[in-house]
Amino acid sequence: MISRLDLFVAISALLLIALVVTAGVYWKKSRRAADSTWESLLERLNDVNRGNVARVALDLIDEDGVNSDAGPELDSTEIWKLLGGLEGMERLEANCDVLIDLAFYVQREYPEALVIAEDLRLKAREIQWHVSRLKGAAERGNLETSFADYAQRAAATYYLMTRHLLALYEAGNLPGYSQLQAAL
Amino acid sequence: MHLSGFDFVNWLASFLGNLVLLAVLFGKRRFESFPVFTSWIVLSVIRTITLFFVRFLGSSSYFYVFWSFAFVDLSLQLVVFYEAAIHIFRPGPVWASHVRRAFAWIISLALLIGIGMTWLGVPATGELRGTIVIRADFLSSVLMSELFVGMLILSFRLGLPWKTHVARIVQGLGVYSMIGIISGSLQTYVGFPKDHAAYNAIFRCRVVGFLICQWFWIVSLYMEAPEPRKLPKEMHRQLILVQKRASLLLGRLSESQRS
Repeated sequence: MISRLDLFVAISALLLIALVVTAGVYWKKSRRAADSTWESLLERLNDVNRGNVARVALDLIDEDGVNSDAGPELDSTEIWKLLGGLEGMERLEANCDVLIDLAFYVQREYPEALVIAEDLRLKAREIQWHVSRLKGAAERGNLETSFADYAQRAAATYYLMTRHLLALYEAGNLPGYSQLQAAL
Repeated sequence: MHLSGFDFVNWLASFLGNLVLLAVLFGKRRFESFPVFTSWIVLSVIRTITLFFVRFLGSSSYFYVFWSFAFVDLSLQLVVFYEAAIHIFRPGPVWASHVRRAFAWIISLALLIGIGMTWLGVPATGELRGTIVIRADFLSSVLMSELFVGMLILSFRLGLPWKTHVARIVQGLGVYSMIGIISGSLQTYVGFPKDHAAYNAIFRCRVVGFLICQWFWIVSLYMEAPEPRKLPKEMHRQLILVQKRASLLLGRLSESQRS
């Protein structure tokens, strides 16, 4: 029979181990994020078919982000195929993690750009939230009706954000711009 | 109340360490950024001086004053965490997005586990005041350890960096709180009436742990944080562009979802 005292000590030990391990893991992750360079962050961007993303995005908006007058022409099936379905959207979602890390980098390295960094973080999380809505729709079996609208707009946002990130990279005169351009 | 030579050295080192820490906090003007942390150290100094004199008045008065200080000490330690949270999660004029709800969850969970653990433990004393002090001390250690880890997770997930001095204060407090869990559990296990020497030895180890954290704070708060870089003009302009485009598009996205 386990006494109350033994139980207390055992749970305390378990709690402590859990806290130490979690703190260690997240501290290590934070250190890794803090040690990230601009280059290593952008290298983490998932490989997405930029041509297809651009096609889906530019079907909805023009290069300046303004809605096109003609209205979208691509249908759901084409958008699904071009973006690689839900898997493709998940890749875009994962890339938003990089955007959040980029915000971390900007805030850490350039505290004066705090407002921009915070906004960048907010928007990246919002894109992730929209993608999560798509996942929810997929689970409920409503994906077909939701996909075209949600995915096309998320892709358009993503397209413009990555395009401007690329411009940012170029403006910062950072090495490896051409390789990155090819990757994006 | 007799102090052994080792206890006296520990007590003196802790008191002098607090004075040095205060000198750093005021000398380097850190108190402007960390007023609550500074108040907590000031309280420790006042407590040490007060308890030194109160011990001549008898054990009843000593326990009353000790308990009163312990209550204020616990409250201040929790506010130190809140102060750190403001530095981390409210880098601008408003709290960062998605923070409040997550932080409320962390606090609720920490409280639930802390209260559960404190209820489970049976303090090694039959005296009511002693029981209250030991339980409150253990609760504070569990709560702050959990808050430390919770803040670490939340800041990483939200991509919010810790400035150097905030990080050092929270790390020191987090480590000291974890030492508090170890010592609290072990003291409960060995029991005061059963093994007086072991109980005191654990307490001394905890004081040594505090001294290490104290000097960690002194050194890290004495040192200057790395100088931030100047944002190149073109990079700044481009960042604003990214921000504007994203705002514009997400606004439309939200509108279309509402319609």
